[in-house]
Amino acid sequence: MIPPLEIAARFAHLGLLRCASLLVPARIRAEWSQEWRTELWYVLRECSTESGASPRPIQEATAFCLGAYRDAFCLRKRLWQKHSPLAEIRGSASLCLLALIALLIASWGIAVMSPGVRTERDLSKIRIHPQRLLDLRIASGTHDPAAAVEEQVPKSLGSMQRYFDGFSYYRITQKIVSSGAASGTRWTVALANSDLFTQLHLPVRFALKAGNAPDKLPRIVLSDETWMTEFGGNPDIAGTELRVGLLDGRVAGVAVASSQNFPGKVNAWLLQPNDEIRGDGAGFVVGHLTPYGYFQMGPRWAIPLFGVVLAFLALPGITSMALGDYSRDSQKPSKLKRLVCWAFLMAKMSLVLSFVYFASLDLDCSIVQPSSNFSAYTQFASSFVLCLFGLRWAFRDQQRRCPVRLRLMVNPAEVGQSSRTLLTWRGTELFCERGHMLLHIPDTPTSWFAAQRWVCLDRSWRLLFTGSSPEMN
Amino acid sequence: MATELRVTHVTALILQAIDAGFVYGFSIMDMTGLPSGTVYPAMRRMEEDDKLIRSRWERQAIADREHRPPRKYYQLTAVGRDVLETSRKRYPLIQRLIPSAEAKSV
Repeated sequence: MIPPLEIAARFAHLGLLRCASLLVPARIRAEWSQEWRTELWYVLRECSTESGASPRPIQEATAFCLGAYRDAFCLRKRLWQKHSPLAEIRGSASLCLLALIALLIASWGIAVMSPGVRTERDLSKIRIHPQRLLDLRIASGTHDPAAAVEEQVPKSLGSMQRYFDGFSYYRITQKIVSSGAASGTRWTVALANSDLFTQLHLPVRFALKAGNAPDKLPRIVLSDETWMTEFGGNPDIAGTELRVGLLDGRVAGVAVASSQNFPGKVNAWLLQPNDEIRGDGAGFVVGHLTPYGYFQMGPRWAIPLFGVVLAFLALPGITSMALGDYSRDSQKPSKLKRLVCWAFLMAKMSLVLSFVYFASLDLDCSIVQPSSNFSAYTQFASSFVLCLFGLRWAFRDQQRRCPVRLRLMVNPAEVGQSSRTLLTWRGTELFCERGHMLLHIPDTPTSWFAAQRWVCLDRSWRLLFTGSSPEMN
Repeated sequence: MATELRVTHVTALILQAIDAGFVYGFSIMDMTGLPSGTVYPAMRRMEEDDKLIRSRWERQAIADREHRPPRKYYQLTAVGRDVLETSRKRYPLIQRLIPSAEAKSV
């Protein structure tokens, strides 16, 4: 009598084969099923004879039946290859580049549509100076710098205090400036808040001491260039009285050269109380960023770039970067073909890096808000990981491509013999589908066979390929 | 014209097994040590695409006489024999793994 477990197993095996047969095209399904059921019968008989009452036959038969799925998939794949135009470019370099471009476009598209990335883009338009200064142009007639900043800096940033520790603004106008009895010259003058230089943490050279000029005249800070050209670089310039338009003012010092980077190149700043700055000239708000603000709003490309640099450094630790030796120098492909190989690798790496930039932005904005404390860290981590594995893929893919036509090598097979002394070679061999090359990858790198090695196939291999003869280089 | 790979190690092993007298699926699996998911798809490709082997079903009467289901037998075609000869030169190890019928009889 057959044990119940065996009956259940037989039903299960037939069920497995039945399910697999559903993947097979209907016109050959009957014969396919018959062959597998017949073979299953022989597998069970053979295993039962060998192993008696042990459960091994059931395991063997199950493994056998699972192979039917691979057979069914292979049948489907062969049919697809016969009828699909894509089959011809399968494994080709162009398909690889197309796939990468598609990935890049997808990640770019997500970035364009993501509101978080839009905020990021708005931030990148704001001009940031190395002195942690941010400048914004404001409409004529606006006198409130804080309101102007809030209007132009994205709302998603939240509290301004986290980003700025000082604001000031100035308005540019043309004035005739004269000193004593000398005739006046036309200067570009910035009518600025009295605390402009204090708020922006900018030093003033030769600064006028408070006790040296007790009068209430407005203070004038000269630009470095004007001080040199108009006053010959006089170090005792502080305290000099100048007439700016209809106003008298006293030179309070010379601005450092970097202040010239402010928008609207000016000869001097006339420092006045806030409510006395009038006029319709262009106005500018300048904010001083806190260290946190500078980190968040500063050069954002630096974060993924740092991740990319680290990934390049870590890459040799996780994959071999050698593209393979040749068994003989004469077998090396021509210089042009080698150049094409390198160009292909560079193209892949460029696409991977572009994809990494957009994907890290996408990930950053989908995980955290760009203004959050973790934003920079998530972007760094994602760019590092994506770049590391992306470049690893690029190198491994290159190592598996025939140097002649850049098609992927196929049919990996373990060849050679195991050897404790490593005197005989053992490893994996791959074929170029078009018959150009064999690729030998050692299982255990030795001093005489460390890296993968290319073997050029000569005409004696022609019978192993369909068609007349392989295309040799 | 684009050329396609005809003989892999698996193909060479299967050709050698058939030539050595292992002429149906399970016996080829058993001899080569390859799993069913490798042997059957390879044999299908060798038969239908590359014409290296051909198959025929055993007559039902013979199988009935022995109280077993009929099996599908495989044999080498002329092209298959040529390819086997070439692959033996390329992979001498396969002849040591699966000695051919003549070698065994010696």
